[in-house]
Amino acid sequence: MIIKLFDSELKVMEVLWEYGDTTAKRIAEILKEQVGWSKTTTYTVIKKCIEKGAIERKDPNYICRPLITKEQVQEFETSELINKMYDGAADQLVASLLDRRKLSSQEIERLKKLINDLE
Amino acid sequence: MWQVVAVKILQTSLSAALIILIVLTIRLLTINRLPKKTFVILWNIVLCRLLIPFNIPLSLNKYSIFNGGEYGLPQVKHTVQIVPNTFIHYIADPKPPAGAATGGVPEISSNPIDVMSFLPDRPFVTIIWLSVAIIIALFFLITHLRCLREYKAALPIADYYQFQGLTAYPARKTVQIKQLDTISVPLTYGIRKPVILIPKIINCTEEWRLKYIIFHELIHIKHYDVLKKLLLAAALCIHWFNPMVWVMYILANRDIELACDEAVVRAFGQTSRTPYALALINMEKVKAGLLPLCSGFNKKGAEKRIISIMKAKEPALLTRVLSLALVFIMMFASAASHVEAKTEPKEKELFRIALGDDVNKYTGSINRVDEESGKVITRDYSIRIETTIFTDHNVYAIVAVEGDLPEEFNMSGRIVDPKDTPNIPRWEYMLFGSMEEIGLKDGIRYFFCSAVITHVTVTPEDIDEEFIKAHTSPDSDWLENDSLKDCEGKVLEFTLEINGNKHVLSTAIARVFTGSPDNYPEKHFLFSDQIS
Repeated sequence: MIIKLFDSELKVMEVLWEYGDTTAKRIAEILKEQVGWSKTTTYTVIKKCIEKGAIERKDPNYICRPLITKEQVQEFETSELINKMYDGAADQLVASLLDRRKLSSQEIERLKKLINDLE
Repeated sequence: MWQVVAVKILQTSLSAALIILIVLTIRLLTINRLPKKTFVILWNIVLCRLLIPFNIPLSLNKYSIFNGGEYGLPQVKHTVQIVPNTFIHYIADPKPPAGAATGGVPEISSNPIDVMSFLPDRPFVTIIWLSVAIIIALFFLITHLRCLREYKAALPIADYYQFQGLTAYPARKTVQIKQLDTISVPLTYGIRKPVILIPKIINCTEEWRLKYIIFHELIHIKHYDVLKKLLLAAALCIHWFNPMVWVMYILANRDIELACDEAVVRAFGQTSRTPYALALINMEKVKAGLLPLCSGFNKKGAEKRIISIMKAKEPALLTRVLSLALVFIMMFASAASHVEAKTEPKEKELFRIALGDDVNKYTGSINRVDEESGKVITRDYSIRIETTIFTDHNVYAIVAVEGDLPEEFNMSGRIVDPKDTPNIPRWEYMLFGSMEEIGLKDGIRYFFCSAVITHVTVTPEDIDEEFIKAHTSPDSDWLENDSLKDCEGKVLEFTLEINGNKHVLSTAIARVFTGSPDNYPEKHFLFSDQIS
């Protein structure tokens, strides 16, 4: 079985591969130190991993056990992702470099030409 | 409460729409000539106008400032009869003798009153406005929170050190730079603790491009653009019914980007225009590659942006001065729109509640009462005559009351000649009429007194039921040849008896509204139902 994971989810998996079965609380502590995530962020990512079937959750104490090995994981190919969410409902409250608009490659060529002309 | 808010917002929206229109025109004419910063500042001015509530009565007469207070009113109408009365009579007998025809003694009737009856009764509109505002706000909020959850899972960039030099430059605070694989364009979030997210797909080794990208985001942070966008969204939620605000929302967001581009080009120098524009295009290429289903539907925006960057130049002194002047003019215009909007003076507005649109014909005849004699202040309450209108036969007055007024009090009115000796009452007219509470505003209760004059050639003892009938019936012709016009300079005097204390309020008769001197049109008795 091959599961596609985002970077954030991989980060959680890496912790599990290294430490074995770990409580969610402990994962959050480790990741806070490593990448500065808040507890909530870590829990959200763990939940996604559980949904994808990469992690099994056991009570008590929300112990997480990896269901897949490092070899079974494939990084999400960026082309597939980016991310319906961002194109559909653009986050209006965030300053972004470009508006989330799409241009065709002809369009881009045309704009490049425009730059040359204006130069 | 919400209705009041809605009304205020409608007023704000209307005057802001005008300012937006002006900004739009300026923008259309000078977009590539003035520094883009100018437009961002202009939008900020509009934004202030849209979001800061101004407590100023605006021109929409029907939506009076008194809407607000109405909700504070006890749902009771006080009707106080003004009956002919004299000083002497009060001493002799606190109950005026001649009240029989008008229902006996001065009385207070308490009737439930629909406080909104003279106001726009449109709670429905308010509900719609509020619902849509909440829906739009929720849309923004939910989208943002969902995205935020995603952003929070961003990872630190491995070779972070290479950004250190850059981050130090324009921002006002420490900025984190992180990498995220689920976004396609760089972005910044957070107002207090800003974070720049770099998409994983951007090749971090291409330093020349990263330099521009990060600098661009740093400028956003420096300009508090996240906050601006937040406020723009807030304005959109509140003023969603105003198409001009939607136009502003789109253009202001665009101008924020243009101003940011401008700042980047300025910082890196004119030679950076081409590489910077190319960096933007390359971003687009990455995206285009990612998203095979392309639509050229926004290409105009991208093109405009490229043109704007390529045409960017160091503004000449004249341009700077010009745009500065423009900003100041617009600031004043925006401030002035508050003042301008206040076309109806408070006095007229008060009378409008009582008289409806009839007030328009009295516009030139509304007296503001400033005299000291027009007010009385005690420990418990203060009462003053706020404003008056005199017509040939009618006296209209608004009395303002602050403090605790008892449920019952007596009031009488007459017109006296100040030249008379005070001890010998030889007034010329007495007043018949009624008094009604019309509004509450800022803790002040407003009463509307409406009375018709009656010719007096008698002593108070003569005033009996028959007398009143004879003088107030529509058939009576005693009024035909009388007009308050002849009384200008004389004094309107109200006598109030409250908790056994007597107060006399007086004000000069002035600016009498008169019809033809021979054929006075004023023959309507506002209170005729009560008398007949």
